[in-house]
Amino acid sequence: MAQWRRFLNFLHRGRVARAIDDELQFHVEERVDELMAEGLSEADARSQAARQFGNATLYRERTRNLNVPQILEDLSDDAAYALRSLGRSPAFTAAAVITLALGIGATTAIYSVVRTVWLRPLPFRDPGRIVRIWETNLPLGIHTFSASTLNYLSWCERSSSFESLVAMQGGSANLSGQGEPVRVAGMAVTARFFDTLGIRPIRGRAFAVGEDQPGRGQVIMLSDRLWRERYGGDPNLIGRAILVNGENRTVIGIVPLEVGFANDRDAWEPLTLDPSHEDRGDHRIEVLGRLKPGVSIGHAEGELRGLAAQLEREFPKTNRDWRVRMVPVLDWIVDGTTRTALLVLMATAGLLLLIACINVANLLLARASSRVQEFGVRRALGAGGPRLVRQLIAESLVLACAGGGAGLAVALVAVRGLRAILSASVPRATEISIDMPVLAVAAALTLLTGLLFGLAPAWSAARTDVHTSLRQGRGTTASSGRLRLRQLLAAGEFALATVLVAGAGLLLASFERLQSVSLGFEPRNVLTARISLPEARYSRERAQLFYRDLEAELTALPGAETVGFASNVPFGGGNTMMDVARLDDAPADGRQAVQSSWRIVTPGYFPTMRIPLVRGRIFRDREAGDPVILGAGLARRLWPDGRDPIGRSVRIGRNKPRMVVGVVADVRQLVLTDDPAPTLYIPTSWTLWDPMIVVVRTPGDPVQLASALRHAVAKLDPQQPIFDVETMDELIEANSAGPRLDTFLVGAFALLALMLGVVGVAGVVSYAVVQRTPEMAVRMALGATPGGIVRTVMAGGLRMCAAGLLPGLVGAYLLGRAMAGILFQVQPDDPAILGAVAGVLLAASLVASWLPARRIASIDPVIALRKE
Amino acid sequence: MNKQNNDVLQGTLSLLVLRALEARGKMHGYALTGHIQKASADLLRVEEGSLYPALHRMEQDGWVQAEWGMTEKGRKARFYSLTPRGAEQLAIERESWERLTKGVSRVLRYA
Repeated sequence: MAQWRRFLNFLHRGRVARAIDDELQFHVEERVDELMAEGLSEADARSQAARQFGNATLYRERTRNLNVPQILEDLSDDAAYALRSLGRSPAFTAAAVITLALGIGATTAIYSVVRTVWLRPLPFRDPGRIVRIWETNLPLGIHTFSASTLNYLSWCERSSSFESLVAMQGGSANLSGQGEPVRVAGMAVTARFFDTLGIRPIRGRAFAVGEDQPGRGQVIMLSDRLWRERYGGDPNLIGRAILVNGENRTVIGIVPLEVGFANDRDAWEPLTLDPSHEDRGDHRIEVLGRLKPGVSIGHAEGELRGLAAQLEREFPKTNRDWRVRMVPVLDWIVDGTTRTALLVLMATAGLLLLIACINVANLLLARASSRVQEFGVRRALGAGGPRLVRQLIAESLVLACAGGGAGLAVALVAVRGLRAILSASVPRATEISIDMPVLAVAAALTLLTGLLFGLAPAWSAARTDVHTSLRQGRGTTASSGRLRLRQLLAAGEFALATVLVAGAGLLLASFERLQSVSLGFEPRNVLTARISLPEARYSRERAQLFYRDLEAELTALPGAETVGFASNVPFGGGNTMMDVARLDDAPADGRQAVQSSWRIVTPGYFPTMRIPLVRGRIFRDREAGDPVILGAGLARRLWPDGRDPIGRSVRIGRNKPRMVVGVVADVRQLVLTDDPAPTLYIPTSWTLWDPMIVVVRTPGDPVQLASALRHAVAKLDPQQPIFDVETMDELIEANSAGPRLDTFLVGAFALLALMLGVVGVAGVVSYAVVQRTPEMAVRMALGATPGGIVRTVMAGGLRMCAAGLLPGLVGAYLLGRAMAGILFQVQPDDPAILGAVAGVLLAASLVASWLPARRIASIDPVIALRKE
Repeated sequence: MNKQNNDVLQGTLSLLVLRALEARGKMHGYALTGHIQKASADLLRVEEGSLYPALHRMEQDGWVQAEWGMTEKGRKARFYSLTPRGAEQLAIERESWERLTKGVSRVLRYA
C-alpha cells in the first residue's frame, strides 16, 4: 500500500523527519502547558510530560521508518560512509577507478561493436529467411563465386523453394546535369530486389516489376548520402530526371543509408538481364533469395544442387562441375573472419576486465590489512559481521560505479574511434553507438565487477576476530590467510595476463608475416589513379591515343621513373575472370580450361610494378598480332608437364587464339592472405577497359606526384577528371586494415594486462616485505647478506608468477586455437612465439619481484628491530 | 512476549482511534489521547508516544488522512480525520472486538 510513496519520501527524508519531530514536539508542548496550568513548575511539567510520552527516540524512529524505508536509509548511510572512506585514500581510489574504467570501457566499447555489427537484426523483413547463393567449382578450387546469369534465370524458372530470387551486380555511374559531374559507385539490381529483402525506400518507391526488362530501365534510385550531399536532400528530386552516363533517368526513390551491405553504393539501377545476350559461362551476378515459409536452407540448397547437376547435363561445355552454395544472409554480411575477430576482441576485453577486477580486489585486500584495527574497533563497538560485510560491499559498489562512469567516458571516446576506423571495412559499422542495451550491459558489468572484486575483501573482513585484530598492530602473521588469498589472486592475474600477451603475440606474428608476404611486385613509390573516358567523347581509337599521349606526358615529368596503365591493379578491388584454354593438344586430365583473372595492360605496367619477367618478353609498344602474357601459376596450370609456353596458343573464352609471348612472376591480386590466382595479361592495343588505372613509379614520395598527374591530364583534356588517387602502399594497407586493428587492440589490451599483472604481483611482494621486515632484520642481524635476503623475497614473487604462467600458457593455447581463423601462417602452439611470450612474462615477473624486494636490502636491522 | 503485547495493544489502539475520530471528527494526536482517556473514564491509558507510530501506520493504510492546521492557541498541529476506508475498518474491528469480548466473557462465565 502506497509503498512507492515511502520510496519517494526517501528523496526528501529530511523534511519528513522534521515534520515528525514537529508533530511529536507539539504533543509534548501541549502536555507541558496543561501540566503548568495545573500548577507544576516548568521543569517538573517537562519531566512529567516526557515520562507520560514514553521512549521518545523509539517512537520517533518507528514513525520515521513507517514513512521512509529503513533499507534505503541504511544504503545511503553506507554509500556516504564509503565515499568518506574512499576520499581518505585518494591514491588508492584513483588507481582502482582508472583500472576499472579501462576494463569496463574496453568491454563496453567492444560490446557495442559486436551488438551493432552482429547481434542487431538486419534491416530486412524476416531476415532469417533470406539466403545468399554462390556458384562453386570445387575441381577448379572455386568455393565462392558469382553466378552465371543464365544459370540464375534457370533457377528462377525451375526451383520451387523460394518466394523469389533476386540478383545484383556492382558497377559505377557518371552523374551530370545538375552541378559538377561526379562518378559514383553503383549497384544494378533486379526489379524485385528491394521488395524481396523488405528494404523500404526512405522516400519515393522502389523498382516496379518489369522495370528491369530490356528497354525499360529509365529509372534510378539514389543513396540517402548522395541525395543529401549532391541534391541537398531536395524532396522534389523524386520524379525528376537526372543525367546518368549521359542518358536521362527519372529518380524514383531514396535508398536508406545502412542496407547491411553495399553501403558504399550511391546509384541503384535496374539490372537488365537479356538472355539473348548472355553466355552461360560468364559468371557476373550476385544472387540473394527469400525462402518460402517452412522451407529449410538445407532443402533449398539440395534443390539448387540438383538443378545444377541437371544444367551440367544440358550444358556440358559451360557448366561442368559448377555447383551451388548457400548461407543465411547474416553469415555472408558478418563472415567467419569478422566473427572470429569480434569474438577474439570481446574475449580479450573481457579478460582485461577480469584482470582489472582481480587487481582491484587485491588493492582492496591490501587496504583491508591496513584497516584491521578499524574493523576491530567497529566490531568491538557492536557492528556485526554482516554489517561490516555490507559496509565493505557498499564501498566496492561505490568504487565500481565510479569506475563504470569513467569507463563509460572511455567507451564513448573508443566507440567514436572504432566507428571511424571500422566504417570503411565492416558492415553496419557507421551505426556503432552506445545505445540503451549497451548502457544496460555496461551497468550490469559495473555491478557485477563491484560484487566480484568486493567479495574477497568482504569475506576476509567478516572473519576478522575482535581480540586478535585489536591486539596486533598492522600486518602481522595472523593475516597469513589473507596473504595466501592475495598471492592466489596475483597468480591468477598473471595467468590471465599471459593469455592476453600470448594472444597479442600470435596476432603480431601473424601481422608481421602478412606484411612480409611475397607480393610478386614492389608497391613502394607507386602512385595509382583512375581515369574514365566517357564513350560519348572517346572512341576506342581516341582513347588509345589519349592514353599514349598521357604516358608520354607523364614519362617526361622529372619525378616519374616509369608509367603504365592497367584495367585493374593488385588490391584495387574487384576482379575480372575468364576461361583460358590451351590449344596445342589436350592435357593428360582432359581438362582444357582454367578460370583465370585477366588484366589489360600497357608494356610500361610491368617495369612500373616491377613484376619480374620469367620467360620470353613483355609486350611491345602498339604490338599487333594478338600476343598475351601468362602469370607463372597459369602457365603451370595449363602446361603441368613443364613445357615452355612461349610461342604456343591459348583461347580466352570464345575469342580467337592468342599467342603466348612471355611469362611473368605470380602476383597477389585480391587478398593478402590468399595465394596468387592464375592471371593472364592482354595488351591495350587489343582492347581497353573503363576505368583504366594509371600507375607511376617515382624515386621519391609518390604523393608528391598527384598534382603533376592532374595537370598532365588537364593539359590533354581540361574536362577530364581523375579519381581514386592512392599510393600502392595505401591500397595494400587498406587490405590489411582488419588484422592491423585486431593486432593493435589486442596488443593494447595485453599491454594493460601486463602492467596490471606486474602491479598486482609487486603489490603482494611489497606487502610481504613489510610483513617480514622484522624477520629479515633478525636474519641480517644474525649475518645474512642483503643480497641473499633480496633473493629470498624475490623468490616469493617469482613463485607466484610461475604459478600463473603455466595455466596461462594453457589458456593462451586455447585462445590461439579460437583465433586460428584470423591467424596467417601462424600456429597457435608456435613454440617460438609461446617461448617469447613466456620470456616477456618472466622479465615482467622479475621486475615485479625486484622492485619491492630491493627495498628490504636497505633495512637497518637496528632501527627495524627497535620498532618492534 | 513483549511483541505480542504490543500487537494486542496496537489492534485495540486503532479501534479506539478510529472510534474517537468517528465520534469527534477531525482531531490532533494530543486531543486524541485526552479524548480516549476521558471517554474511558480514565480506565484506559496508553503510553502517549505509542500513538504516533499507530497513527502513521493507519495513514499509510489509508484509514485516516492527515493535514497540518492551527490549534485554537495558534500552534501548528497535525490533524487526523476518518476516511471512508477507515469507517469500513472501524465496522470490521468493532464487530470482531464485540465477538471477542462476548466470547471471552462467555468463557469466563462458564464454570
